[in-house]
Amino acid sequence: MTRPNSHNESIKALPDVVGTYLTFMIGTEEYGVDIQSVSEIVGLLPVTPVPGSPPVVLGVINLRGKVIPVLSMRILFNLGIVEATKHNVFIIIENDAKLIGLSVDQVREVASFTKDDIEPPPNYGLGIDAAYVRAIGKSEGKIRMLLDIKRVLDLHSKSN
Amino acid sequence: MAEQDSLFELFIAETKDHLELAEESLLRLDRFPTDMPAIESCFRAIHTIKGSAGFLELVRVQNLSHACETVLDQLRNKVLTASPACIQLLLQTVTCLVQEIANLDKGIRGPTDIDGDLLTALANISNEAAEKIANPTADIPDDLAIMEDFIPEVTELMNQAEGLLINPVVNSDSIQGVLRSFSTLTGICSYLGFSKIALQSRNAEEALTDTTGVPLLNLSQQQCLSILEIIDVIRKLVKSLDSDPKPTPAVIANAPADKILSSADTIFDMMEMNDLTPETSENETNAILAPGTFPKLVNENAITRQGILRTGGEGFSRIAIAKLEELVNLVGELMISQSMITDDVSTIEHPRLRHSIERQARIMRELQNLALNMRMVPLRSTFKKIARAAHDTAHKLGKDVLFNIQGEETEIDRTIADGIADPLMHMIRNAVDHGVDSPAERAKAGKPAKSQISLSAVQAGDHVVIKMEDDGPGLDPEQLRKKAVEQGLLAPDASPSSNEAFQLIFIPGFSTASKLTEFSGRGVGMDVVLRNVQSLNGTIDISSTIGRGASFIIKLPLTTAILEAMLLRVGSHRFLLPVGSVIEASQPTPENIRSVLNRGRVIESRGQLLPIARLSDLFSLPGGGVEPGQGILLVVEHFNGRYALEVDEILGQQQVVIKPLSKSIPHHPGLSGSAILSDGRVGLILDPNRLLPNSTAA
Repeated sequence: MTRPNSHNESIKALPDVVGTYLTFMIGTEEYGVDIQSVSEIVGLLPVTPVPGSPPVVLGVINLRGKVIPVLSMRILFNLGIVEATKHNVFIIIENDAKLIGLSVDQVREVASFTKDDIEPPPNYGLGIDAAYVRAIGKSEGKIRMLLDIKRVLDLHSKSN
Repeated sequence: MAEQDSLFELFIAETKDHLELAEESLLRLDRFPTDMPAIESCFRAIHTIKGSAGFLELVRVQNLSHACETVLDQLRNKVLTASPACIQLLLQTVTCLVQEIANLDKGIRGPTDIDGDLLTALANISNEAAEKIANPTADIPDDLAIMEDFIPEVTELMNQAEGLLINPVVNSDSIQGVLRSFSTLTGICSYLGFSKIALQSRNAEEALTDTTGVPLLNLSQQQCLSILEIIDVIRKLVKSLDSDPKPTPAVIANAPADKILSSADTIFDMMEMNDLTPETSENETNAILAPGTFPKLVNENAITRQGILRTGGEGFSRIAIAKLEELVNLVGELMISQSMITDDVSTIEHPRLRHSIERQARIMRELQNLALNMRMVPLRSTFKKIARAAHDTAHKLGKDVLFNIQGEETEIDRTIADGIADPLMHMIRNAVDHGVDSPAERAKAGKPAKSQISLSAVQAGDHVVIKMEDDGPGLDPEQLRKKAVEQGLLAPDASPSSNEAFQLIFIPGFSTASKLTEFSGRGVGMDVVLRNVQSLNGTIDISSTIGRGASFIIKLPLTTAILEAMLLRVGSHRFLLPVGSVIEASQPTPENIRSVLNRGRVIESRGQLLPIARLSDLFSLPGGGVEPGQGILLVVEHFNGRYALEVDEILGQQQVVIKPLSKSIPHHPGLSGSAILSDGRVGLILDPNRLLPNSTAA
């Protein structure tokens, strides 16, 4: 689909995408975030909604005395909300010394991606905003979208 | 008109070229940070833009390019090194200018959002660079422990001396007092080996005595100022000791010597001969600051970062702020844990257990008061700094002002006391600059001959109210409005009320000064003041009567940490309302509630008709809450008046530890923070000042 030259160039631009990711399910798709940014995973905690916040923000939770915001990945990716199951968890991400939780349907595994497993994202057909995706990981017969955490966390604050 | 149009078009075209060149130069600079030709060409480009923009009276472009030019000039003179952050900022500025030009080209005249932040950031960089050369460093002692005691002692001595010198009456007694302070200081420094400070101190001593060593009987204004400047230098030397355990020895430029030479005294000739002048080495023309790394910033508040624990009047101990904060935090959590236990136990029939828990709760409350108290400091030292600034500014501007302070013993959380210093500093300079009218004007208006500026602090509920008031010309809403329209910050047909006009001064880039003075009129001030105050969870309000004066009222929370709050319920949601904000609570009967045309429902309270606002409506909460008229009304204070907040139920009252709401999440302005409730869930804290729509200041 892409010409070999630009493909290789894009790969060269992705050296920092190589690495280990925590993967999780949102709807029927599997996504991954850089394991370095993950602080912990917690089961669902009571959420207090915050008036005046964008729809993607579910609210805030009490994480051992710290009040941190949590986002709904389903809403971010424009899927409807469904009833929580026992698999739903919050992935607590640390970004810029701040903690934010992401509500996901189910955590999958910790997977490593080498440069042979990674491809740049196509410009269309992803089903979600391409800006969120740093690269596509193809390994073990699965396609997983590796997310750009900074974009995910930033975009939400601009949308409303 | 045609001529003007073609001039304008020429400007647009040329500026686009210049900006392209500037961007190119900056990108080159990014790769080669020491490339002087790149800096030069960028400077020239921006300089030209500034000039042309000025000629065409394009204020915004002019301001931006001026700020940019200042930084580039400093880069040119090697007063600043081109760090990646600095270059990024300059690139951002160029991008902003490009956008501005594009807008102008399309005929759009409106503020671009980045303006204010960029101007502030640029100003910060150039100010920091300017300060860098003005900050001498002292000798680094081997035994850092000595500094622990030395620094507060020097601070105290210098404060004493300063206090005596800025007093309107300086007689032989006060001169001897000042002399004693310096003698003591010289002694200590010589003993401990702080030779630079000792030298300054000796200079001061010599300035205070005649040739035979007898203290002078009086001091001229000039002499007072010279000594005050020595005090400042000593303070800076001391600061450099405290800020960094291993300060990088920096080579100092001319600035301190220049500043001091402004006074004609011979003392300062002597100063020139010591190491305050640049060490002339082969590398003199290279970076004046330590090569390689971007210089570590001297932390202005380094000294105030150490807390002082009072131990029953027997002396003081220095404690790191971080430890204190950790302590207060833990005590806070302990309180919550305590109330959880109390809740759980309340259903158990066990008298002895209940008794023990109650006793524990009492001890806990005392512990908490103590912890809170440890963080409180009187505003005295902050106010003293302001008094000094007022004195200096008044002198530099040749104005005769009576400055009085009240309520300096009022205590407030230490971080707030630190944080409010800068805003107050700026405000006092503004006040002296703009809030003082001439003797002739005063006589005409029937005011007393001497202008008066007063600074006061008083505790009101769980807030401290700081007021800065002058009896000068006051603020003219019409003039403010005109200036705002001129600067493109307000639509020409807008008709703001007086209050709204006053708020205009908080818009970034706004300035009514006809010329840029050293002190104010840069137009980057009041918006930063507002932001600083807001970051302390405070508010500023302005009131003024034209011709009679103006007053600025800053309201700050007493502590950053703990809040006594009422727990409220609306539907299934719970909120916390600071007890200090509630004037009264009532369950109204339908007869007390009336409907007023165009104003909605009102309630009569203490002879006033107050509008009723439903919390469920303000927050658009799903599942509304009880029927109107069935709930509880809480009368709260708002800076424009009072109103009644309608909620479903009051659940109780509790002390909570305030946790800030993450800044990265946009939220309703009426929420000022969050706290953990006794069942472990998060409750949001309300700010009655900002709950109503249209109630947020600029």
